[in-house]
Amino acid sequence: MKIRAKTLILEPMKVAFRHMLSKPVTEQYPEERPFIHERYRGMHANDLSKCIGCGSCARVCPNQCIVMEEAGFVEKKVGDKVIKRPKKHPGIYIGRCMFCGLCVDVCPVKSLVMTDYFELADTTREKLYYDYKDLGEIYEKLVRKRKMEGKAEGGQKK
Amino acid sequence: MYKLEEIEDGGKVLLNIGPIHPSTHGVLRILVEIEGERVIKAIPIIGQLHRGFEKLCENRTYIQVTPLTDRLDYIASMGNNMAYVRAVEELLGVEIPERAEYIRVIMLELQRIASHLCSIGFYSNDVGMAFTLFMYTMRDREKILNLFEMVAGSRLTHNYIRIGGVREDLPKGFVKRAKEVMEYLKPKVEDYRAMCDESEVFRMRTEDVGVLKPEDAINLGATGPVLRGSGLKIDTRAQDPYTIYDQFDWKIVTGKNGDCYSRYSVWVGEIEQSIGIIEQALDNLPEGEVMAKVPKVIKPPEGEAYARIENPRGELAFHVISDGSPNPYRVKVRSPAFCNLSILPHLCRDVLVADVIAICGSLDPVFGEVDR
Amino acid sequence: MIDIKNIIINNYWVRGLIGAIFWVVFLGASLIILPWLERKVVARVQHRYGPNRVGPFGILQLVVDSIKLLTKEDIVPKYADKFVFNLAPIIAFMLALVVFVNIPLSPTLVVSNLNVGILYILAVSSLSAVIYLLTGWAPNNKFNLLGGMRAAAMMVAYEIPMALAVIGVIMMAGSVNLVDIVEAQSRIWFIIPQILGFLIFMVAAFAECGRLPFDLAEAESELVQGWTTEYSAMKFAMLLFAEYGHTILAAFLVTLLYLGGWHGPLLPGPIWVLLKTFLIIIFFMYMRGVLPRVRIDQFLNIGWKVLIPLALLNIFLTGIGVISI
Repeated sequence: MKIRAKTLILEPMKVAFRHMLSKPVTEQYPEERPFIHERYRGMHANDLSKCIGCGSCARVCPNQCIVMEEAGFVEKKVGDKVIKRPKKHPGIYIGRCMFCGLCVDVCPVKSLVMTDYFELADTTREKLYYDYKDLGEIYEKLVRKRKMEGKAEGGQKK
Repeated sequence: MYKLEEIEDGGKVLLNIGPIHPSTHGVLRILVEIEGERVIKAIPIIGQLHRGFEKLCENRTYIQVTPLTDRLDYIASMGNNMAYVRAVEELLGVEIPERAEYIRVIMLELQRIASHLCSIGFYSNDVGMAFTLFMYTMRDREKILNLFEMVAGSRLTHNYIRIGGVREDLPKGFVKRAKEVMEYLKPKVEDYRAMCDESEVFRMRTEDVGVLKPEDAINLGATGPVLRGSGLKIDTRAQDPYTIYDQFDWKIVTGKNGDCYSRYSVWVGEIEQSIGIIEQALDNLPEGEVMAKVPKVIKPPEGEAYARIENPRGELAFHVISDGSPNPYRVKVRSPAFCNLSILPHLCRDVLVADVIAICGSLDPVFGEVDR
Repeated sequence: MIDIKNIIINNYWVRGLIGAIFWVVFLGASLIILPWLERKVVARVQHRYGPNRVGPFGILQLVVDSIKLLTKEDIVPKYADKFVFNLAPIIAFMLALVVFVNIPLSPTLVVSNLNVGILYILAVSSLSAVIYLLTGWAPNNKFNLLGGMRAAAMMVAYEIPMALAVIGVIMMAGSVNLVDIVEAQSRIWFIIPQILGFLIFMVAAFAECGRLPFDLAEAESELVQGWTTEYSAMKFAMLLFAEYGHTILAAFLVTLLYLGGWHGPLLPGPIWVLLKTFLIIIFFMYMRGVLPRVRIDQFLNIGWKVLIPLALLNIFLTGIGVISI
């Protein structure tokens, strides 16, 4: 019988005993919220005052889950006439999204951002489609309010 | 596909270590012919996680393929990004700024540490330790995943290394945090050595099991820690240096015998070498920009490129063929886990049933990569 | 009062009834507490909390688990041997309970002070090798069969070192009766002169109880659940209880044979016995988180080729010691 480790099994016993006496490292999740960093890619949010409706985000999405929706009209002065052009804003279907962040990278006016809201589970598939008003609302509540309050970082609920 | 041989006395039993099992690293089905406890043949049956990656790439543009490559080897996803991006950069002929190269090396080595921690944890689970070492390694891997969240925005599928550089510069405070994590990891590696190397039962279980001789390793196509565990000093970072690996001071870690224990000790040794490389890179980080001038719509000229890197599991290579259009014509992935898994029938001759699981764990397959 | 005490001590019907009720209640309570304790201790070794959601410190977890096990569907596989399938858990539970008749908590608190004490206990726990054969054969499942065959080989191989280690204790105490063995430790606990026998007995106890590092019967990472694979609901619970019963029995034996039983400074005797047993059980649970599982052929190697020569050496040295003193 060959003996390979010098002290048979004493070293693992020492390590395990040391761990038994120290405080566990579990975070008790629903009561303690985890710390989320600034660049986390969670739910999208759209600043409707900046969005120009160019459609770059819908073109670049690898899974084709962004749809440009009609959202009223915008008036524009061309020469001395006033034309009404249809305005479009993006709506996202979260069920197909893989949260890669390409839509945020390609946005030319930086109106589409990703927040740290990640508890997105829901009961039916239809509820997973967030239209442009929802995205605007998320922006108002999560991003603008936090900027005004001095940026509280962390996993806040909506 | 397989045939049961007739023997006179004694019965052969066909055991199905099935796709849903507490211990295969994903969806793998191993058909094992046993006689009592001795294994006569072991045949892996793969393909349950096939998602058609290579076909999907033909309908998407070059930038849209990058997040898809994350999902190949989902435990070490910076490596997949890097190999694909290097192939496209070779087609375009783009030069990467130096700060981007340093950041890429730091990310790749951090990913190597995280992946090897995962491998050690899952392997100790296979050998029978009831989740103890698994919990310790997951606790340490959390620190590295927090670093990734700080830089790239996501913990597992990063999509950070882009064509021309990296996506964004490092945030403030990253260098200090990374150095703290490295200081935290050094005594933990001693802990892992104490739990496994100094444990008589662990060594009894993994030494002289699944021995792979050096000439067999080269003939059968082993790669990565499986190859280095048999004593051969072959590593893509030394043979074919990509980015700036030739500017760092590190050693190739090899094992002695080619058994499961040597492969495990290669993982632990590589964690220490990676900690050294990261500290050297953090000390010498230059200033500059992080993204080269790349056109908005990428249409490389006609041609093909083959780029290989050293994944934690072996040599990962991407072969990209372009025909001038915005979509690639063909993207082929050479995955190291697939090549390593094909050695399983050779290693599993005349062992016991318990050893089949230990050998499969030491070959370290990840099924996103094996099945693509 | 004195009349009732006389009746209790001398009339073996009354003593048997009270003793049986006591042991059933004691074992029932500990079988509710022990799985909870095991999960907590193993979790602490792994640097995490155990169950802590259901009730304070997760104490009600076992109540909830028992309700779950009682309300699950009881599945009998189609081609299984039905009679043996239903019989095996009953025999397992019975064999685990029937030994406690002979365990003393103090010189007078024993249900039946047999003169062949320790031999009776070893003989009945040898019968438990049959349980693994029954549960391995009945459900007609390959994983069960592998687990059962391994476990039967394991049990047979480790009975012998256990018995040989106990012979050292018997030589030092001069009798096989359990009460006499504990009384012979009033000056010095047997763990000190019999250190080699103590280590052999601990290794054999781990093997007999089917605990890590020797839980080959229920190897979760190889055979899906080992010898209990096809059992569900209450039958599974009874097989599990049989395993815990063996653990409690082994802990009691270590306390009585090596650690001095009821001898101790301040507290009354039975409290010392229960306290020492409790500490040994926590040691068993702690070892679960430390070591990986041993492979079957290495395991049988250790049993036949290492432990038996060491146990014979122990007897030889004890003999020299007993003669010269």
